[in-house]
Amino acid sequence: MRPNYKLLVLLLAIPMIACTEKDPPASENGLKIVFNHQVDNEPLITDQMIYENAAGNHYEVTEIMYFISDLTLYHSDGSVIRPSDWEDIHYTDTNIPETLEWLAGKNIPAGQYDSLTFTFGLSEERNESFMYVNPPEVNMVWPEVLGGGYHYLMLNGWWEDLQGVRQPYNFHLGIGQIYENNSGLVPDITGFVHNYFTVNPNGGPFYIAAEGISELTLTMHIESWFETPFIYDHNQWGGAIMQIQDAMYIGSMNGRDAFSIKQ
Amino acid sequence: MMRDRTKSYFGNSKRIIRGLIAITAAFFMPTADVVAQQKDSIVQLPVFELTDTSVYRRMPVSVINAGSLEQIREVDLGEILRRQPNVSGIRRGGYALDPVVRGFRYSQISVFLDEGIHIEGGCPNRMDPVLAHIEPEQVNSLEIVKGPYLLQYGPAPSASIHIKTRPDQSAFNRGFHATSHTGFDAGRNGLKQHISLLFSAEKAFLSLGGGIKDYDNYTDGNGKEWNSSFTKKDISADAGFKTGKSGFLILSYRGSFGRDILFPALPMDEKKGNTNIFSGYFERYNPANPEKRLTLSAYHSKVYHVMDNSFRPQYNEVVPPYNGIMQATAIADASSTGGRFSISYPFKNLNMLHGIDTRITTKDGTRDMRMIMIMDGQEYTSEKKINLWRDALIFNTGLFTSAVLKKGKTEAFLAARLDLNHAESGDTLIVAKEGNLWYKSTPVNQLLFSISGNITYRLTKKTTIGVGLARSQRTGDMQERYIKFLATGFDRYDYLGNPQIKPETNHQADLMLTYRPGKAQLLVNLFISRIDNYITGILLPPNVARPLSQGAPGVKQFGNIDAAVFTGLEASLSWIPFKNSNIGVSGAYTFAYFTKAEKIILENNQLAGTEIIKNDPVPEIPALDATMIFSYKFRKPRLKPQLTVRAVAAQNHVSISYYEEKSPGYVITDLALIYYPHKLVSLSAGVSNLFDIAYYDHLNRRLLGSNEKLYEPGRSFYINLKIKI
Repeated sequence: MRPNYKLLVLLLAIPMIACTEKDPPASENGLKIVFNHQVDNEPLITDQMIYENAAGNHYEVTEIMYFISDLTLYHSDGSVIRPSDWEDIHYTDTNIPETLEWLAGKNIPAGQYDSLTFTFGLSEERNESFMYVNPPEVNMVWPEVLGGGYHYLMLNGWWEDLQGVRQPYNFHLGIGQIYENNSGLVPDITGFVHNYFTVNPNGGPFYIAAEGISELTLTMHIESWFETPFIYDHNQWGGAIMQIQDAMYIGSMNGRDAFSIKQ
Repeated sequence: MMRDRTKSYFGNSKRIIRGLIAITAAFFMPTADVVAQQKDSIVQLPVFELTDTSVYRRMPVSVINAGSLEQIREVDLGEILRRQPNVSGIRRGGYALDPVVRGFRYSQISVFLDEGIHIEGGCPNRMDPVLAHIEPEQVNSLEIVKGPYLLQYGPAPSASIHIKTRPDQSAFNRGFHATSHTGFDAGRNGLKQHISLLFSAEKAFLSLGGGIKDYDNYTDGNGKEWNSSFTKKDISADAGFKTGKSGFLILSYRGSFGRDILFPALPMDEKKGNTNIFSGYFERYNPANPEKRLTLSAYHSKVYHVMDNSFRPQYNEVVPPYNGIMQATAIADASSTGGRFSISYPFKNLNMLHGIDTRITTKDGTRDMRMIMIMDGQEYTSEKKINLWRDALIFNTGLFTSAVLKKGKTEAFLAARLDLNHAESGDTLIVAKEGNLWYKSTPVNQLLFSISGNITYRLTKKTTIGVGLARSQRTGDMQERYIKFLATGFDRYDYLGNPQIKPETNHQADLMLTYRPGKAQLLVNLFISRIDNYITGILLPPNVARPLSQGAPGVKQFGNIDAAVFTGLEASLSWIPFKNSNIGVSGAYTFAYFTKAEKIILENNQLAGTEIIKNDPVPEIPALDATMIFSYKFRKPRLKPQLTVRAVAAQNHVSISYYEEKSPGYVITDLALIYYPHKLVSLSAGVSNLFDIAYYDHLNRRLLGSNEKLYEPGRSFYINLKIKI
């Protein structure tokens, strides 16, 4: 019997006409957080010496970079939602517009939410060195000898010192160090302090719709870093504070009320 | 609806027709293979040499003999193989192309030496695929079996590349021979020199060889220089002893040593690569019945690999957008140790073969990362060391059997093997998130069963038809099980292994037709393959794992997806239009798709949604290609000019779920001249990429940190001289 090789050819050729198809996406909802930065309830204007803090320092802001993490939503029915099943650390950078929006989660229970909280910076267990190796996040690295991990906040700018001279300030928050005899020398470090804190922004309630992306604006009130509960004076702490735990402590306390939400 | 879907593939109906014409044309394209069967060494065509014995008619196989390797410009076996129909290569630099056969790659291809000597490459970025550990001058012949048919030398997942390096019995009684190969490639100022010596007597022989290759960067057709230089040295030794009248023992050593091999598509370069292979082979046969044989072999191969980014600017200076100096070094130690025992004997109309083989593969490696930054006027260095592998071990033992039947117009071949595969690692890493366990190393045992069969029937004196059917399994390899956070060279992502990965199963069918009307030969091979539990990378959420390699956008973990289907054909036709001439054309095409794939939609590197794609093309499948060779041999002087034209179509059949980009087609022309001024001397010279075309292959990787594909070398003049005494 002669083999029917025409049939074999046909059978082998059939898969070559398979066509690509896309399943229609299922309807889903989501929460997008839009980041906003204000000074005295006005949008931030960078690189202009037009602001004055509670200590009376004239200052300007060049750039702000920071991490927030562990976003938690509190539904009016009492349930607690962690919406970020994909990425629960967000990096915000005033130099990079794409970072000013965060699709914080999808498929979130719809309804009214009373409030939200987040960690400003990175908790001790999350703040691992070399967690980021690519820009821009990698540039937030906190030196290993000073505690490692990453900066929580880089708020950079200029202030006028007591002599009226324009001086740079790096208002940086991260892991603090305890020095023997307050020497400030790396070999004298005896311990570390994790300065991250939880923020419960003013505002709310807010709603998440059953379909589509619901937006929420998270505003950082920059002046608040320098007041309530402590007055922060650039002339006292100087331009670089990453090795001054007392200054970072003030920052970590003042930052707790530096945010608000609005829908 | 159907029209729309078709349009997504081909654009419009005219393109469908053009595609069909191209496929049909490939069916009838002639090839140069047949000419190589002629005894006259002058007419051997480089690279396109097919040994068409009855054995090879039964399965889809190509054979490249050493004579072909000596006459070409290429010095890398991966690059040499790329000129075979439906064999392509992944280029990451100027050396060590990673072979792709019918769209199958990496561990889907079993690459081994002689009687099953396996090499575990050291580099997690695949800078050193198995072929990179062997120099062309060490090779007697290469067999490419396009399918899971060669089950006698270890699991053969989807294809096998059998590299024969050991001298055969003919090495005895040949007296003294010395061979020198010298070559110069003007396109990259590359010089190669290899010398081999053979001393043999009636009962023993000693063969020694060694060589060096020193190549600079190459320049593409646009005049752009690519950091692709490399230096390699190799040595080899074989000692053979007759053991009685019907047995012999051969002890062999192969060494390959690479230095400063640059890979612009990878985050690091190879600083040092040392490969040492020790092996022994014993054979005893029945002089009265040579098909009755017993073989015993053992080997140990060891690879030491060091790579770093010291050739990159960020090693010594701050390169924006980074604000620190970034240094990285990785060191890997890998070994493979194994043995094989087989007996073969005739039984009625059958030739039987039974045996057992075993292989122990180990791998250990670390990565050291340093970041040097200036902050507030002070310099700070942060350093982290992590394991790439930690005491990883895969132990595979298999039983195999095969039978060959020759009866009348029918030849048949049946093979089967059963493998027990054990894998374990000393990893302490656990990746868990909210109740999901993503990575935890525990010992795993898996049982694999593979079977293949081929039958060939001579329809007429000129026509033969063959059918092959096979089922073959493979387990996850060292990368797929245990790699930790390194860009493995698949794409720009960092990869995480999966110790619990399931075996991949290939079901394949081949249909082979041979037609020999007079001075021509037509070969057509259609195939279809369905891979169940296809092993591939699946993107992990950043909150589960973040990359550790610069430039890696995320982490993928190896996992199984439902199925992938590969189908296509190779066709070749060779024709002698008039005396001393030959025209050969070959063509090949592979069409492959995942039955179902998930596309992750990212916006600003944030998850915006997922989409299920049915019949999504498998990424990195070579495009339709065709090669034509024309040659003419002059008797006086003994001279053979040869023109080669290779045309590769655009690859528009790209993966949606992998965001793969289309590639344009290209046409390349090579010119060669082979001259035999003396019976002991051969001279080959030529120019590759005659028209200095700027092009890249679809499988070429991108320059690190950009979307620019790595281009192929531009025009290059070369000359090779072989002296054999």
